[in-house]
Amino acid sequence: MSIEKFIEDLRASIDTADDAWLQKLTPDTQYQDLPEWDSLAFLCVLALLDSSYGVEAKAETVRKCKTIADLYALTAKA
Amino acid sequence: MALVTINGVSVRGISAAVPRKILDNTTAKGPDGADLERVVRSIGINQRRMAADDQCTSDMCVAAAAPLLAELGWDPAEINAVVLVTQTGDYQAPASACIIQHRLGLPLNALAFDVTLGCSGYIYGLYIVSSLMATGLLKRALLMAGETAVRGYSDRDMGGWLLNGDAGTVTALELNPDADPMTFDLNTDGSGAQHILSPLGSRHRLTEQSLVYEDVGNGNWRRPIDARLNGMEVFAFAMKRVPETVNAVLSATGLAKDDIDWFVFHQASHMILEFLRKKIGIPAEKMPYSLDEYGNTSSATIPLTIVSRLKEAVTTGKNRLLLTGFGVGLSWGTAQITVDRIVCPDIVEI
Repeated sequence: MSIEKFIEDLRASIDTADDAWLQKLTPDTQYQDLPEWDSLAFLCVLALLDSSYGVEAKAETVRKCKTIADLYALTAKA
Repeated sequence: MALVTINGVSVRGISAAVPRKILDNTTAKGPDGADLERVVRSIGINQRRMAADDQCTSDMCVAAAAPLLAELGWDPAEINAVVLVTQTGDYQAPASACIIQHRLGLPLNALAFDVTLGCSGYIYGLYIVSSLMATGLLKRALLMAGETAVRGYSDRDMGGWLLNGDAGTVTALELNPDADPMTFDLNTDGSGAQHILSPLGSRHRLTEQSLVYEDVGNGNWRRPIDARLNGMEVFAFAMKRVPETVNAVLSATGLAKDDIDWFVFHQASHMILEFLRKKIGIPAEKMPYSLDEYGNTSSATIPLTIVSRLKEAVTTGKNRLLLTGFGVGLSWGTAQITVDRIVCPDIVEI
């Protein structure tokens, strides 16, 4: 599974008011610094990791992931 | 705790009371004027009830008990125990169950005590009451579950304010040698105690500073006395632990998901529940929701969902229920019970 597919999954999973920011995500994006990133987006990522990748991540684990590539690395550990 | 089965005890009826006052989430704005439509859609709570200033948990539970006892034809003098699950009792002391014993006219030799659990509390309460009854010494008992949680949250902290509702419920149980077994799985992980916390108590006593609002980020404000909820940690906890406990009870009972008529889950939020429903593989039509109308009423959500959404089914036939509670503690558990044409009065408004 590629990081490009992972980013596509993120775009499809995150419930957001305006998804323009999702289209700009790259592996290097520091997503938690984006103004659109909020607690609902966080929950969507937790749910995606579990349901699509079998990763039962703790909230703290996700919080420590600075970039999209860091998030993607969690899926390799599943 | 290991899985446990209790025999010889039946649920005879369930009732609920809610305050008249409605809080409308669909028109709510954040403390900074922000639109909350997306948040409200995600949690799935359109409205909830809030107790009036002079209403307490015991008031709602006593109001719910009246039509239940009348329809059952139970004389209060023949009730041997009342156990109240609440984290928002009328006073720090005494236990609100003692007040309820007097107000309902239960005999002086009735057991009466409170259990301070929340989201998992109904499951624990069913276990505690049914296991006490299974000794054979108690013939009839009332399990009450109710909260006045809304006033414990800051109305300027959208992390908790939009979720909670107030309600009181009563479940009537009776010894019955022909009863279907009740099977329980009960668990605790206190390492997550801080994730849902109402801090006022012996460790955090009331001072002048307790009443001063503080900026807690994202435009939200709360006082040191106000309850707080870490939604992300609770979500991560639920998505791991809830499927485990549901599957443990299904395995212990030998029942398949198809054998269960209704999966009644603690009404935490729509987003969590839909995630869990899909992960466990529960058909949407078998999982009733009441949080759209009543919000998260903590220990009361499961009986309130049965009364408000399953009345026709449970009053007219035999239903296998799988009940799951999870949250504050952290504490979680599942009960598989069977109810057969129980009494279920209309919800009382007070």
